[in-house]
Amino acid sequence: MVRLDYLLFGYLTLEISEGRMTEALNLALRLGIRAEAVGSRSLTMSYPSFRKFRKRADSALISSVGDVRGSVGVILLFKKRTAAMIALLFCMGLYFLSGNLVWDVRVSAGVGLDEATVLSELERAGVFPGQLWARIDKKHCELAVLDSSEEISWISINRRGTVAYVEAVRRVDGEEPVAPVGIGNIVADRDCVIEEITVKRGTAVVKVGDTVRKGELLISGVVQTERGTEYTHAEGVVIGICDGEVSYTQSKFGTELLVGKAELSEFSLKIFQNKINIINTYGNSPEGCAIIEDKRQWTLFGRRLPISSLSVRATPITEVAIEYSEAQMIELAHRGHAALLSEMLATSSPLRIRTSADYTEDGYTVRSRVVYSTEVGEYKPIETDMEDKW
Amino acid sequence: MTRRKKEAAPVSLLTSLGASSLELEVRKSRAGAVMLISGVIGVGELSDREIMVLSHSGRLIIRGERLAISTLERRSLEIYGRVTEVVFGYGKA
Repeated sequence: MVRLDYLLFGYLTLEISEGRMTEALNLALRLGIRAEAVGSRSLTMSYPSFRKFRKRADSALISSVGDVRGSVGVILLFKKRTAAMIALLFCMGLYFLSGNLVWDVRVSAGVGLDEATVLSELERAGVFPGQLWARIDKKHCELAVLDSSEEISWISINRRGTVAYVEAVRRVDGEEPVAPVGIGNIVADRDCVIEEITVKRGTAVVKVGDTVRKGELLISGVVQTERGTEYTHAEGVVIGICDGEVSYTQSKFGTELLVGKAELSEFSLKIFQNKINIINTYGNSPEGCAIIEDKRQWTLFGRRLPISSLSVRATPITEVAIEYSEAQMIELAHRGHAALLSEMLATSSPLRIRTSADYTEDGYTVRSRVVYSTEVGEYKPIETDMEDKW
Repeated sequence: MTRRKKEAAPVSLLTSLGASSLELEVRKSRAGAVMLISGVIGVGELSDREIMVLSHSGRLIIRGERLAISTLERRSLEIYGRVTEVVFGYGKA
């Protein structure tokens, strides 16, 4: 096994002339250098020791000198190959640096949390591809993210090799029950027939089967108690049966959007945090253009590289007038009518729908009369100086 | 003649004064023994069966098989191998 100092400073083996090994060893002793006799003719010593030995030894003592080995041997070998030496040093530097830089940040975000949000918070806290690991204080960065973000309630940053693995959980705020304030009544927000009435607070002034008009009082905030008349915040659910109409007219003439050919206006590469513009037209996009940005993360054998590309394309869009055929007009009319009907019945229960369609002066009209039941009460505050005595 | 002061780890007073102090330390090794000899002024005979070490105190003859030698700093020697006999004699010849 070669000694460590031999490897670091270089070492070599000398061939000593016949019968002069004792003289060589005595010289080494006098000079105070370490030398190992190998057989009866060879002497191994470090390169610095050899230089000292060679100065004091007479020319006939050393018959031959072997190649220098160890790190010094490598340097001497490359002495005349400057480019190779520089390349070797560059590769060693790159290897050293690459292990000390963050190459990737992988986020595992909890339910309801966007990965991009977490990445931007991490960047602000100093954790991003290209950052030196020595500059990242795990605890400090985690606290910085929690302080600055209102969406993250817990975060953990772990290092595995050159990748930072981050787990984050979204903050969930619980809803606290809020007591109603003020005094007021529940009134009808449309004409209807009362189907069901449930009073939480206040006094019902209508009953099931009553026909009410819009604005009529349904639940009063005036309550009769043992202490007399009191005013309160009326609460309750009133279901009424209403009727309504939905109508949609489709014209024979309309407009269509024509999408042109997408043209590349910008292309850039991002290596770690450095952006390199390859193509950039630096022009204003013409009006009526759709801008499509495509950001891609480069990978190699499934592993993410710290290189991404961004391409921006401008797609011109023009509006042209068109004339629909009969079939198209009818189809569009029914589609529009269905959308309006769905919107109307989103919070209601339909009881009966009667639909009719016809050609009109404007085009084609689809009409529906709908009978439906829905919540009809709306809160109306009473302006008074009196406090809620409930 | 210039004198150069050498920086060295702590050394026995006797050795630093160049006094006649021969020290011998033996450790067992896989190949036999390792002998560390300090206070050496030279090597006399050398072969794989016999090594003669010279000092101010006298001479030391180490006999054995497959003997190898290394010189160390501060006038010390290391001898390895299967040592069978150590003979001390007076004088340097």
